[in-house]
Amino acid sequence: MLLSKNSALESKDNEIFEVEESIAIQSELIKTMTTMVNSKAYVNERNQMVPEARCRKQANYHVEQNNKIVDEELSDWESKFFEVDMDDLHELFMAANYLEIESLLNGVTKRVGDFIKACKNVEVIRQTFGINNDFAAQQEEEIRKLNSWNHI
Amino acid sequence: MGSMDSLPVVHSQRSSTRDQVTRREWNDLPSELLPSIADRLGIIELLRFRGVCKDWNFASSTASAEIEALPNRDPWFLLYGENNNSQCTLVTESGKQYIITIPEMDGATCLASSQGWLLLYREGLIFFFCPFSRARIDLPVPTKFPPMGISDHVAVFSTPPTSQDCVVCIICRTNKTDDLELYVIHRGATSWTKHKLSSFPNKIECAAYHNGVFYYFDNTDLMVCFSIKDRSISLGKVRYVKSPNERCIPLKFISNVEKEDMKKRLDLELGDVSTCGTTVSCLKADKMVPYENRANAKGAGTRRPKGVWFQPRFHQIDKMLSW
Repeated sequence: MLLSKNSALESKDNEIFEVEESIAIQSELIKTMTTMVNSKAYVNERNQMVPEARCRKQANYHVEQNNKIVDEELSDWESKFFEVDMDDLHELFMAANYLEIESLLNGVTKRVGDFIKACKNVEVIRQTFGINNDFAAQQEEEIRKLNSWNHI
Repeated sequence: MGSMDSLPVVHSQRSSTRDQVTRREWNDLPSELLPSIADRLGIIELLRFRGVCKDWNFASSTASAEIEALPNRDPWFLLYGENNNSQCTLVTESGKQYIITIPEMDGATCLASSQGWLLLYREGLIFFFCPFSRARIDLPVPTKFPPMGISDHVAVFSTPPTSQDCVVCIICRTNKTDDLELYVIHRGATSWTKHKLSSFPNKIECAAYHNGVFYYFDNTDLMVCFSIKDRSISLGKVRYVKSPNERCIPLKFISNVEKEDMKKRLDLELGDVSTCGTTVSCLKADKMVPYENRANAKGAGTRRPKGVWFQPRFHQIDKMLSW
């Protein structure tokens, strides 16, 4: 029976921190690189371009996730974890995508959905996310017809 | 809902340059990430999502607001035909009301509703229609179809019309007789087949499809069954299973309490409104929401409001798709 192995991950900011291997391989990216390199206890991710803050968050996310067994506790904890502002959410999103961590991605996309739900209309969504309206006039008119809701 | 109150304010106290960087970042989100957001949205959010910009619109081309189709979700209600300007009243499962303009439902009567598709009859034409996406699939016109207003029309379809196996079965009464007529059409066929059942005076209240058979229930304990394979009508009596392990047809009726609760939630004056029912999928059985066909007191042909219970879905189909 092997003792739990630790992986050492180095972030772009040159900070190394140890993460239990079972947690590290939650990231599909790290899992792939580990098997490719075929090292047992030590994986050096020098080419990982992820800022320190993100990496720490991933590690914390998984440590906590593995500790929580009760569903209620987990969902409470998860809502607090994702209670971040737009900037941090964006960072989490990019990190989860780069590191290919499915559970984190699910949490982030759900949170983005909550943000969208809180927007009263299309214009507020554009303002919140800073998206430019690039529709041609005719396409916009067609879409507006489908969207002709008025809350009573 | 509590988590929405704690959403941070959009205009945070960071410096304005940081805000500008953030805004650009979301604009540059890798497009492969957008579908995963769109796929989780409810119908109203999805419609708005599709109106934000071209990328977001394209990324949500296959999203259908599936989240609305979770089992046990109460259906929404659409009140239509109230007035001349195509305005319909929509009530969500939580009681929120919206006014929405749907010209395609002017002068139409809804015959069936299932999984976000409505089967409409309008000016001699019969077609499938999705009220949110306005997707439409026309069916061949049955010859000598009994006009609305005189008879009760209740219909069911076996699968969504986008499936190759879709079969539609419309039951109606002609000329105030006690006879019932069934009109059946398979996907891909160009004409309907007609079947007759003599002497069935009771009104049809509920209808459903299961495993190759269409079931029509009256307000007592009788049922009219049409088997697709045998192409024949038979009569039956409803019997309820006594133990959960007994083999049965997985259908159940809505209770009176549930019926009253659903109407109360609508907070609308329904009165003489004829409503088209639907089936709600639940874990063990499909729950049948009844059809209520009321005679048109003002006479056939006059405009009056109608309603339909339906599941909100955003169905997108290829323009070339035909029956």
